[in-house]
Amino acid sequence: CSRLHNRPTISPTLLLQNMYQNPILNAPLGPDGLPVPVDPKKVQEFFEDFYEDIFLELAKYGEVEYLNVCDNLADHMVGNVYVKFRDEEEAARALQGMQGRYYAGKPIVAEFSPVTDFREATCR
Amino acid sequence: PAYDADKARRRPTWFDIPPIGGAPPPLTQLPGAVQARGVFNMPRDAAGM
Repeated sequence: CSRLHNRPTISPTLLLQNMYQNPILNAPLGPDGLPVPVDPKKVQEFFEDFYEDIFLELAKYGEVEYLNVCDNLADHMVGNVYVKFRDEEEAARALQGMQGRYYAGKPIVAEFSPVTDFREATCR
Repeated sequence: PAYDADKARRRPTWFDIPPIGGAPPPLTQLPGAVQARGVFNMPRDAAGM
Protein backbone atom coordinates (compact mmCIF):
# COMPACT_ATOMS: atom_id res chain seq x y z
CA CYS A 1 0.00 0.00 0.00
CA SER A 2 1.26 3.48 -0.80
CA ARG A 3 -0.07 4.94 2.45
CA LEU A 4 2.26 5.60 5.36
CA HIS A 5 2.10 2.42 7.38
CA ASN A 6 4.28 1.15 10.19
CA ARG A 7 7.04 -0.97 8.77
CA PRO A 8 8.23 -3.29 11.51
CA THR A 9 11.88 -4.29 11.64
CA ILE A 10 10.83 -7.89 12.27
CA SER A 11 7.53 -9.74 11.93
CA PRO A 12 6.26 -13.24 11.17
CA THR A 13 4.43 -11.74 8.15
CA LEU A 14 5.92 -10.69 4.85
CA LEU A 15 4.37 -8.45 2.22
CA LEU A 16 5.31 -9.15 -1.38
CA GLN A 17 4.22 -6.04 -3.22
CA ASN A 18 2.13 -6.19 -6.41
CA MET A 19 3.25 -9.71 -7.14
CA TYR A 20 0.04 -11.19 -8.53
CA GLN A 21 -0.87 -10.00 -12.00
CA ASN A 22 -4.54 -10.70 -12.68
CA PRO A 23 -4.81 -11.73 -16.34
CA ILE A 24 -7.82 -9.42 -16.72
CA LEU A 25 -5.48 -6.45 -16.19
CA ASN A 26 -3.19 -7.69 -18.95
CA ALA A 27 -5.90 -8.59 -21.44
CA PRO A 28 -5.09 -7.42 -24.98
CA LEU A 29 -7.23 -4.76 -26.57
CA GLY A 30 -9.74 -5.80 -29.23
CA PRO A 31 -10.53 -3.94 -32.48
CA ASP A 32 -13.04 -1.80 -30.56
CA GLY A 33 -10.26 -0.61 -28.24
CA LEU A 34 -11.73 -2.43 -25.26
CA PRO A 35 -9.97 -5.28 -23.43
CA VAL A 36 -10.79 -8.71 -24.80
CA PRO A 37 -12.88 -10.62 -22.22
CA VAL A 38 -10.90 -13.32 -20.41
CA ASP A 39 -12.47 -16.72 -19.75
CA PRO A 40 -13.28 -16.82 -15.99
CA LYS A 41 -12.14 -20.45 -15.88
CA LYS A 42 -8.71 -19.44 -17.23
CA VAL A 43 -8.52 -16.64 -14.65
CA GLN A 44 -9.24 -19.12 -11.86
CA GLU A 45 -6.65 -21.58 -13.19
CA PHE A 46 -4.10 -18.77 -13.46
CA PHE A 47 -4.76 -17.80 -9.84
CA GLU A 48 -4.46 -21.37 -8.62
CA ASP A 49 -1.18 -21.84 -10.49
CA PHE A 50 0.16 -18.66 -8.93
CA TYR A 51 -0.98 -19.66 -5.46
CA GLU A 52 0.59 -23.07 -5.75
CA ASP A 53 3.81 -21.63 -7.16
CA ILE A 54 4.27 -19.12 -4.39
CA PHE A 55 3.17 -21.43 -1.60
CA LEU A 56 5.66 -24.11 -2.61
CA GLU A 57 8.49 -21.56 -2.83
CA LEU A 58 7.71 -19.87 0.47
CA ALA A 59 7.27 -23.18 2.27
CA LYS A 60 10.97 -23.82 1.68
CA TYR A 61 11.73 -21.17 4.31
CA GLY A 62 9.36 -22.31 7.03
CA GLU A 63 5.82 -23.27 7.96
CA VAL A 64 3.32 -21.06 6.16
CA GLU A 65 0.31 -20.36 8.38
CA TYR A 66 -1.54 -17.93 6.12
CA LEU A 67 -1.09 -16.96 2.49
CA ASN A 68 -3.34 -14.17 1.26
CA VAL A 69 -3.28 -12.95 -2.32
CA CYS A 70 -5.06 -9.70 -3.16
CA ASP A 71 -6.90 -10.60 -6.35
CA ASN A 72 -8.34 -7.15 -6.81
CA LEU A 73 -8.46 -4.99 -9.92
CA ALA A 74 -8.31 -1.55 -8.29
CA ASP A 75 -4.94 0.14 -7.81
CA HIS A 76 -4.93 -0.01 -4.04
CA MET A 77 -2.88 -2.99 -2.84
CA VAL A 78 -3.29 -4.62 -6.24
CA GLY A 79 -1.69 -8.05 -6.36
CA ASN A 80 -0.20 -7.82 -2.87
CA VAL A 81 0.72 -11.13 -1.29
CA TYR A 82 0.79 -11.51 2.49
CA VAL A 83 2.41 -14.58 3.96
CA LYS A 84 2.49 -15.33 7.67
CA PHE A 85 5.04 -17.81 8.90
CA ARG A 86 4.98 -19.67 12.18
CA ASP A 87 7.67 -17.40 13.60
CA GLU A 88 9.75 -14.36 12.82
CA GLU A 89 12.95 -16.26 12.07
CA GLU A 90 11.27 -18.12 9.23
CA ALA A 91 9.93 -14.86 7.82
CA ALA A 92 13.39 -13.30 8.05
CA ARG A 93 14.86 -16.25 6.15
CA ALA A 94 12.17 -15.91 3.48
CA LEU A 95 12.78 -12.16 3.19
CA GLN A 96 16.48 -12.76 2.68
CA GLY A 97 15.76 -15.57 0.23
CA MET A 98 13.47 -13.40 -1.88
CA GLN A 99 15.86 -10.45 -2.21
CA GLY A 100 17.06 -9.77 -5.73
CA ARG A 101 14.87 -12.44 -7.31
CA TYR A 102 12.27 -12.27 -10.05
CA TYR A 103 8.85 -13.77 -10.57
CA ALA A 104 7.55 -14.00 -14.13
CA GLY A 105 9.93 -11.28 -15.24
CA LYS A 106 9.15 -8.87 -12.41
CA PRO A 107 11.45 -8.08 -9.48
CA ILE A 108 10.16 -9.32 -6.13
CA VAL A 109 9.71 -6.51 -3.61
CA ALA A 110 9.43 -7.96 -0.11
CA GLU A 111 9.22 -6.36 3.32
CA PHE A 112 7.97 -7.20 6.80
CA SER A 113 4.32 -6.44 7.39
CA PRO A 114 2.63 -5.58 10.71
CA VAL A 115 -0.40 -7.74 9.81
CA THR A 116 -0.69 -10.82 11.98
CA ASP A 117 -4.45 -11.34 12.11
CA PHE A 118 -5.99 -11.32 8.64
CA ARG A 119 -9.54 -11.28 9.97
CA GLU A 120 -8.88 -7.88 11.51
CA ALA A 121 -6.65 -6.54 8.74
CA THR A 122 -7.79 -3.33 7.13
CA CYS A 123 -5.86 -0.56 5.45
CA ARG A 124 -6.12 2.42 7.78
CA PRO B 1 -5.03 -38.88 -0.27
CA ALA B 2 -2.31 -36.55 0.98
CA TYR B 3 -1.38 -33.51 -1.08
CA ASP B 4 1.56 -34.27 -3.37
CA ALA B 5 3.20 -31.02 -4.40
CA ASP B 6 5.29 -32.54 -7.19
CA LYS B 7 2.31 -34.21 -8.78
CA ALA B 8 0.10 -31.20 -8.34
CA ARG B 9 2.39 -28.80 -10.20
CA ARG B 10 1.06 -28.34 -13.71
CA ARG B 11 3.80 -26.12 -15.11
CA PRO B 12 7.37 -25.02 -14.39
CA THR B 13 7.81 -22.37 -11.73
CA TRP B 14 7.86 -18.71 -12.73
CA PHE B 15 10.34 -17.89 -10.01
CA ASP B 16 13.69 -16.56 -11.18
CA ILE B 17 12.50 -15.75 -14.69
CA PRO B 18 14.22 -12.41 -15.40
CA PRO B 19 12.66 -9.59 -17.43
CA ILE B 20 12.78 -9.80 -21.22
CA GLY B 21 16.22 -8.59 -22.24
CA GLY B 22 17.79 -9.84 -19.04
CA ALA B 23 18.07 -8.53 -15.53
CA PRO B 24 19.35 -4.95 -15.17
CA PRO B 25 22.84 -4.53 -13.69
CA PRO B 26 23.15 -3.40 -10.07
CA LEU B 27 22.69 0.36 -9.68
CA THR B 28 26.35 0.82 -8.77
CA GLN B 29 27.37 -0.53 -12.19
CA LEU B 30 25.26 1.84 -14.27
CA PRO B 31 27.15 4.53 -16.23
CA GLY B 32 27.63 7.63 -14.11
CA ALA B 33 26.78 5.86 -10.88
CA VAL B 34 28.45 7.38 -7.83
CA GLN B 35 30.64 4.90 -6.04
CA ALA B 36 29.62 5.34 -2.42
CA ARG B 37 32.99 4.30 -1.05
CA GLY B 38 34.80 7.06 -2.97
CA VAL B 39 32.39 9.73 -1.79
CA PHE B 40 32.44 8.79 1.86
CA ASN B 41 36.23 8.48 1.96
CA MET B 42 36.71 11.85 0.28
CA PRO B 43 38.34 14.66 2.31
CA ARG B 44 35.75 17.10 3.66
CA ASP B 45 36.96 19.97 1.45
CA ALA B 46 36.90 17.87 -1.71
CA ALA B 47 33.38 16.70 -0.99
CA GLY B 48 32.23 20.33 -0.79
CA MET B 49 31.39 20.26 2.93
